[in-house]
Amino acid sequence: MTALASALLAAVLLGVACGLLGSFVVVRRMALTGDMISHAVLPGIVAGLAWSETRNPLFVLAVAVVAGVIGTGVMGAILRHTRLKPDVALALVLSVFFAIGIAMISRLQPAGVQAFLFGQVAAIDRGDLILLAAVTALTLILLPLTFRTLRLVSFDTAFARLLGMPVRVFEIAFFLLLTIVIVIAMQAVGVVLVTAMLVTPAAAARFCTHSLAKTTVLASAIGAAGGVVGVWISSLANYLPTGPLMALATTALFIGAALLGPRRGWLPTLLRRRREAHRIACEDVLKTLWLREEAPGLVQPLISKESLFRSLAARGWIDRGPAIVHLTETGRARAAKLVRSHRLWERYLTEYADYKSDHVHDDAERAEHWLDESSLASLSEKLGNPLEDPHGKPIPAGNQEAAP
Amino acid sequence: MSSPAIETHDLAVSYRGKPVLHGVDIEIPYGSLTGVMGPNGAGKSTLLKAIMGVVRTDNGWVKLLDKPLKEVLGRIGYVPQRESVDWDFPVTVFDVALMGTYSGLGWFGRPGKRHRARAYEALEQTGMTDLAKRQIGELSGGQQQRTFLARALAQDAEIYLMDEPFAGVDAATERTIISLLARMRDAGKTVVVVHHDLQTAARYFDRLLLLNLRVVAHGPTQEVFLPEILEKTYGGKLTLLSDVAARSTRREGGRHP
Repeated sequence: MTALASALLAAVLLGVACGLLGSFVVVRRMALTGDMISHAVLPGIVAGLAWSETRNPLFVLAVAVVAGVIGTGVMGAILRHTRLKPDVALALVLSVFFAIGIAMISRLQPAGVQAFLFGQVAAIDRGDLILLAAVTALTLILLPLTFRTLRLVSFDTAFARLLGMPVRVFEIAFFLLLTIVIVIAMQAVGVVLVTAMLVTPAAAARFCTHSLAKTTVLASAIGAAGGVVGVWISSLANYLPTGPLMALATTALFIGAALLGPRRGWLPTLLRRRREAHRIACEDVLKTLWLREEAPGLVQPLISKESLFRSLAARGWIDRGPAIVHLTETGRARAAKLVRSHRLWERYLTEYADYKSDHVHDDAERAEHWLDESSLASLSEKLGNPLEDPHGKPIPAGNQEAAP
Repeated sequence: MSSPAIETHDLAVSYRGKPVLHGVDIEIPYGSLTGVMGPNGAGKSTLLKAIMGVVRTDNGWVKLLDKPLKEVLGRIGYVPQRESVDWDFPVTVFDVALMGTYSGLGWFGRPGKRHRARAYEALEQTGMTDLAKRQIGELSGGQQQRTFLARALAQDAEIYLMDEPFAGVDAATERTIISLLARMRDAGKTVVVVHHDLQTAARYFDRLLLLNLRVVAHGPTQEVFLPEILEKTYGGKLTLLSDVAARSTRREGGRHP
């Protein structure tokens, strides 16, 4: 295998494993715990490298995991025995373990430790690759199998316990798997950027979907794609380091998701809002036309944008003559529903919420666009099917067909 | 059935040296609907958590269905307090209802058609089928409570512990919830509800448990819902008790409360 091929393979495997686990890290609000683990394992990595002459990756991994367990244990002890908050305990463990690691490096000077500090995809050899493939495969098997349980434990621990689930075992297993993946990912991107590999793809996926299953799939895809692009760019310009490029490429995908993600992305949200604003503007035109029919001359003249008239005409709600605009039958029914909503709402506010009758108009202007038929029907019933609003104006009758 | 559904004896819980609950002896009979009431900080939520084994108890024991908690897991249902739920979590209304059917699924189990049908039925009973695919953060307060109630129904437990299911709900939801709770009780379930509103308490519950760091009164509503008992529950807080306890932990080298 060429160096580039093995780097690409490593990037894909890492992206998948980090994306899967990272999804749970993000929804469990453990992002900084990942950062703590990557620093806490450093003394273990240094010791492992120094003790194993062959730099056996499995041995290094095992010692690193032990260090991670100790770090997490220390953090737990700090939380139990002092009144310090989790962020402080985290920062303490993170910095102290990292300091110990650095001190050990200058004392022991083990070969190959640079890769773990700064990341070096090229340093990933055949043995590392096999280990990485095995861990990714393990993650790919374990997470889907235990997905539902893990999701429940993450969402509502107390409930999971009451159902008799082995919550503790799950949490320990998750922590161990996370630590293993972090140690392996460190070789590629370094101690600091591991968090980016774990958190960024999952955070990006959250802009795109509200399903945890889809989040995990999407996060692995984003992680793999970011890794591949990073490796590819760094191979074009060989003085650029691979780890940071992988992180930057993933971040570019994150920005793309934040802008365009269908669920919470900036553009889809903006479009949704504009659609609503357009609907409300259209409805306001309909209502004004209706009010003009009710009391000619009393309502202010209708000044509106050409585009609103065009879309109302396209829906068949208005007829446009050469100089004057009329409601069609369907348009009139729709307008009547708006007026009905408005006046019922005013009535509701004065009777149930103790609003004064001259304080209700603005609120009703908003509410009229959001009340559906069934809530209108129950509102009317609750008010005793009133015929007039608080200002004495008639409330149009409801749509008989739509009434439940 | 002579033994109670829920029994505690001399239960005590403290938080950093401050007693939150002490000497709690309660016996809640099968098929009853009990309201747990008391001022803020009286230990209402803590009592539920102690019964569920979520908080560490200093003293005493809990028996559910005449057995220790460990032996009846899966037969106890729970509706969490609104504030303790992560509403941003990527799960849908249906996902949450389906979680109620997980007991007995084991480690790798997958809910089948039967489980899905049960979850769907529970959503029907709470009037949430139309919103089944919504992410839970996109719901109103009332809809959020209905979702968790659906999970409880889908679980078909024998004892239900609910932490303020009426908090932040509209009047229609409140009515739906209370009629569901009454129906659960009539079906023989034991339901314990932390409740805030004195106005509705006497109407909603057949038994009341009045708490203020200890049990002030506990029994059938008409025997307990009396002015002098309410005064005792809500009037004087036991400030002296917690002050002295806090002072003693400080003196004895304990951490500052």
